Amino acid sequence: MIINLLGWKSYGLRCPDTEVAFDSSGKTKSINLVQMPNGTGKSTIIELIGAALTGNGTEWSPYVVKQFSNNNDYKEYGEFELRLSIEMPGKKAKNIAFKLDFDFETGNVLYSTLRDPTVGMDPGWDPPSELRPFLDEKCVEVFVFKGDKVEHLLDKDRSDAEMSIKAFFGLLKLEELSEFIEEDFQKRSGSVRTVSGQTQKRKNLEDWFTHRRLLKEREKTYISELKPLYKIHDILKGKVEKAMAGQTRNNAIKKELEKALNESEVALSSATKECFESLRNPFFISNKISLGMETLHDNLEKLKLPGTSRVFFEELRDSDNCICDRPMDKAAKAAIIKNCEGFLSDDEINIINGIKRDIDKYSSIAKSKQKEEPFKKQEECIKKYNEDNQSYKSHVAIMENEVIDKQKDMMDEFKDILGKIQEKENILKVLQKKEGSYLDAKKRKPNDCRQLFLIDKVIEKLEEELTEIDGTVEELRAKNKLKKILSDACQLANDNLKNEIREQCNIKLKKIIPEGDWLEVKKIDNSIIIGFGDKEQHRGSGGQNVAVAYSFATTLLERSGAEFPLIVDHPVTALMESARRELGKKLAEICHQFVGFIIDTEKNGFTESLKNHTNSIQYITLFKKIKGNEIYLEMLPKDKNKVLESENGIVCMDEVFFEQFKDVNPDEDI
Amino acid sequence: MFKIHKDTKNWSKNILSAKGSPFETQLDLYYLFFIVGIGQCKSPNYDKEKVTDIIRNYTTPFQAYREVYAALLLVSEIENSGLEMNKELVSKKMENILSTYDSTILSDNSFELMNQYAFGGFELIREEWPKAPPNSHDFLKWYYDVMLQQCFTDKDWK
Repeated sequence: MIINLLGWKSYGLRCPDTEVAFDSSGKTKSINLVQMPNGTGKSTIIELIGAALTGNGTEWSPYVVKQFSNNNDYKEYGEFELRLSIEMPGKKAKNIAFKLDFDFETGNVLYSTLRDPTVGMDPGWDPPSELRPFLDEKCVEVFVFKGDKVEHLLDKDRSDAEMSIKAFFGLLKLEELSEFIEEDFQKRSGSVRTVSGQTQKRKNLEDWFTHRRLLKEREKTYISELKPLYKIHDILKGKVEKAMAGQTRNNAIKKELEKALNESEVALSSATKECFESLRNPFFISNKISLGMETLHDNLEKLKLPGTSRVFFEELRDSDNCICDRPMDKAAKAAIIKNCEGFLSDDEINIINGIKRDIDKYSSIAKSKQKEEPFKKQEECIKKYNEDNQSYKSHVAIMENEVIDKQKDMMDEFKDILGKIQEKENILKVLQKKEGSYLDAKKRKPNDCRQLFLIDKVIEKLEEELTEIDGTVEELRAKNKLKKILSDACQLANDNLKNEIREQCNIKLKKIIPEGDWLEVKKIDNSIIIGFGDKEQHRGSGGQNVAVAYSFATTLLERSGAEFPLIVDHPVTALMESARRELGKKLAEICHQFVGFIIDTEKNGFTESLKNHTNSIQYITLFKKIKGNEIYLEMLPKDKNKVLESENGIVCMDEVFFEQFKDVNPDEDI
Repeated sequence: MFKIHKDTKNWSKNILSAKGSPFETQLDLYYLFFIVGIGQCKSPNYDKEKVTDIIRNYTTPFQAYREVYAALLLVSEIENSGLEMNKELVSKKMENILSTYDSTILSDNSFELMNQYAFGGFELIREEWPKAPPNSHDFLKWYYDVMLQQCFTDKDWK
């Protein structure tokens, strides 16, 4: 059986209202690349594809349903329709469709299914019987790769790999059957007439049964309560991670703005210092000051203040002869003493000369420069500083608002959900713990035992004792034998399947992974264990992990006899360019239809390599019609057959447009 | 001794020795006040309780201008006397203003006169800017664009 994804239609949801068709040329291509800028709704579409296939949208809480509404252009109703084709050997392919109708007011989702185009949509999720076994949530997760799927398959603390095998090959059904047999036996043994003397034992057994039923019910409740919690957790986890990424981006912007602000602050400080330095020279302050000083200078010159030092006359006074060789008599000395008072001392002359010199000097300095220049420069610096300061403050305010208004609520909600999950998981862990002594448990009262494993052991022992007395021992043995057969069969099948899948995986890996980078699947326990030679390793490189995950998924699909398309969110984002090229070479060989949701930066190396190794590629670019995306409209091809336009989105199926497309407005994914 | 208005301390808290400020000492601000006082011919006799000593000599950046500041004081005093400049007046004023015994070349009278101008200048500035200026660059810009324009277009400065 070959299943092909033909396309989808969406309306009123977080993703744009669009119709994407992989069969527009009449036949689906092997490789289908859907390029969507961040924020267009890749994750939403992949979530919806998964929901359409599994029918689990009816289990969503109103909170989860409302997460799919379009926040920017809210509509009360939304639609998502997924089209598939199923090809059975020797039969003509038939098309089917699943449709989800969202009621955002009530938070409900209603399904309808198209199995016969002549009849139209039937209410409910009702896949054809041949497809139904593969549309279990665990099976769908194998071929619809969401965010962390690759990591989950290799995570030793998770059992995604084993659960996928069990789901795909019906082993989970065997486990359910075993449980049903146990319950049935308990019901029937409870109705057996009590034999005298056995009342106490029977009563004790019934108490253990009652307690078991209670704990089983509790286990079931917690498992079913955890499902929507996990869903909300996944939604919030994505948002929290994106918010953190946004915060990292914002921090980087903040750092840049801070740097610019610091630089302009330093420039302003320097300009202000220059201004003040210029003001220290009074000639820069005012022309009037300059004028007054120059007048003083001129007057000092004009006034012809005594140019000879008083010291000269004081020395002359004490001499015997005048400078003209005439003898200094008393009258002459008296005249000199009297008149030398009008002359200045050396120090006074120095000061006055200093004043005249510095008036000249600083007046010249001031004249040689534009006195407004430093202040003009400072004005520019103030303007730049104020702009930078404003940008910085606005950005910080936006960051704070984002954190306070949105992220804080979201983080609180996420913590709350994590807490609830933890609480329920802890209880389940105790219920499902498979260790301890049943002999100890048997001595206690049923209510004191919280482990189903031990309760089962105690019941088994008590049943043996009772059935020996009331003659139903044969029935008990038959029941236990049947359960053991089922358990052994399940275990054996599981082991064999894991082994076969491991071998097939390694054959595929040899084709995908280049020789120098070789690694293999060593074993499959709960998770996939990889390694090389004798050594196991916790993780491979990004490229190795992706190769292992794809090999595992496609092996499961092939081995099950149902070939599903491999639908992957960000198929090469964790890969180096060389690994992308290697994957591009082999991708068309790995599966019959590959649908990869990518962003522009994932194209490097990947698309070129794909193009070199297959001709069967469908290029689709999907973007929102929003402010900032106008540039894309101008780039669209003239051939209108290649463009589908809705109220809020554009789908372009042109290769050149696909290649030239570059996200001009990177934002958080939704 | 240079003396400054006691209120300057609180008034200048955001601009004196602040990050990026060109005003590193109280004498820097004193000088700006002095210029305003000179420009507006404000040299009131102040209450000694209202001023505080700041420094005995010019700080290094002002040292190079000591002759020019003395000349400025001289010009101001001659202008303010209302008399024509003549040998006797200049000699008299120089005797009053200058001192050969002080590294500032200022006499005690000059210090007193400068302090009065600085005191008057601060009060004038504070009238316009009653609260502490938030930062040095806005203050200095205002000082240059507004205060100095106002001081030196006034009729008192001849």
